[in-house]
Amino acid sequence: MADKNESMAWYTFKKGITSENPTYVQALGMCPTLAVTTAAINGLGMGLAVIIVLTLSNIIVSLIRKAVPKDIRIPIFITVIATFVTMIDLLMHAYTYDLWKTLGIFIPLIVVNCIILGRAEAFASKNPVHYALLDGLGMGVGFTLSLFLLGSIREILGNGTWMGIHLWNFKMFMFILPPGAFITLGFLAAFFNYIKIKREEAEKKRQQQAKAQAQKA
Amino acid sequence: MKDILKNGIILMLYAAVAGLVLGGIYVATKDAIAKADLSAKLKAMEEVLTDYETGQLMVDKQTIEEKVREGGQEQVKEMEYNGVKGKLFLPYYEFKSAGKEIYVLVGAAPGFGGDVKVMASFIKENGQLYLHMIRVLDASQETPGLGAKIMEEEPQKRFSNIPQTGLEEGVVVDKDAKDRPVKDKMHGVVKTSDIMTGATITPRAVANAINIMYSYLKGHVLGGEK
Repeated sequence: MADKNESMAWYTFKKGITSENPTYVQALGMCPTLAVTTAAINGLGMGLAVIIVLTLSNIIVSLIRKAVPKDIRIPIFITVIATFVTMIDLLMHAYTYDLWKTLGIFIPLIVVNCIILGRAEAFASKNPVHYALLDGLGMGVGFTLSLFLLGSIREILGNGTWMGIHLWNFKMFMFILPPGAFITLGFLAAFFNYIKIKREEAEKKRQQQAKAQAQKA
Repeated sequence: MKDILKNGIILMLYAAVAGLVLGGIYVATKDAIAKADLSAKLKAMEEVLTDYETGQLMVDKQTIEEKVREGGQEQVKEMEYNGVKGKLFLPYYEFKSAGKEIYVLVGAAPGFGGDVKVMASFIKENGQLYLHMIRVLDASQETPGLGAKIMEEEPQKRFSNIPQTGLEEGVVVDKDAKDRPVKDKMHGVVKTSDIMTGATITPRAVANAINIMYSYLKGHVLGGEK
């Protein structure tokens, strides 16, 4: 039983990073993904802010899930999310001024990031707190890694730097402009979906082999 | 009807709790936010008040801090220069140092993604006025690697030491120089095309912000109408 719980907890966490990655698999939160990933550090900063908001809102939504009438659950979830986003905005303004300036309008826009409302509605409002926490963390980490990867590729190809460190003089400006964001995202999404399909095929094959062996036996 | 009332009350309770929590956070961070804003402004002001030849501050830090604190809350004034709309952030700051009158102003003009906010120091010495130095305060909406390069030292240095003749003609970047001699600050031309390849709009916004600040300085401060 303990093993089952442990594996369930691990699956809840890791699915956001791999099989249900919000960016490359679920295609959620595309607006900030495309807009802020002009540099790796912006993607990382945005991702960290989303991890905090997503985890905290998932915890609170899970805690209050039995005290929320079905008809008004969406405005209540939005109120919870907006509260956390405003808190993060105020705290970043006070203690991480440069990052707050860089992320600008994208911090308030976390409120309408569909990953956060999506996880509150689809998972946190139906599951106990510890799973909601793991789901929020996993999805947040998955989103952060996606943004960081996209930001790194765009910064390296478009600006010849990585995390502000100069690498070379070769630059393809297109990658830091909006078309570069769509192209890079398209290639990455294709790559991650290819891996997902290959895994599913391998799993299907393994199940068929197991079934055949069982029939032989 | 009963359900609507019940839901309304529940929603109101959630909103009230959220309001209370945010009120608490606001009170807790209010001072730190004011401190962060102030230190960002002071840092920029110290940079524009540094003599680029000696590297020394022309006004002592305490005086700068006192002036900024006296200035209080920033007011925004909509301005226009040659058909370009921009903003001026008041109050402006006036300092006196070793026979020099120094004016520090903050202005903004539209760049590629949003307003580019610039602080500039103008110095009046021996009856002559010139733009001493600028500091770009905010170019966060400009394209990284292109327009956002304006935050680097070198492009900002290009806008320093522009004489009054150049300010009178209006500051432009070399791509907009038309019949004015390129790279000639006497005619207000600032060469940026070699260090900001592919980005003309952002340095143009800086030039427009400087023109807006100068027109205010000339019309409202030096012209006597305060």
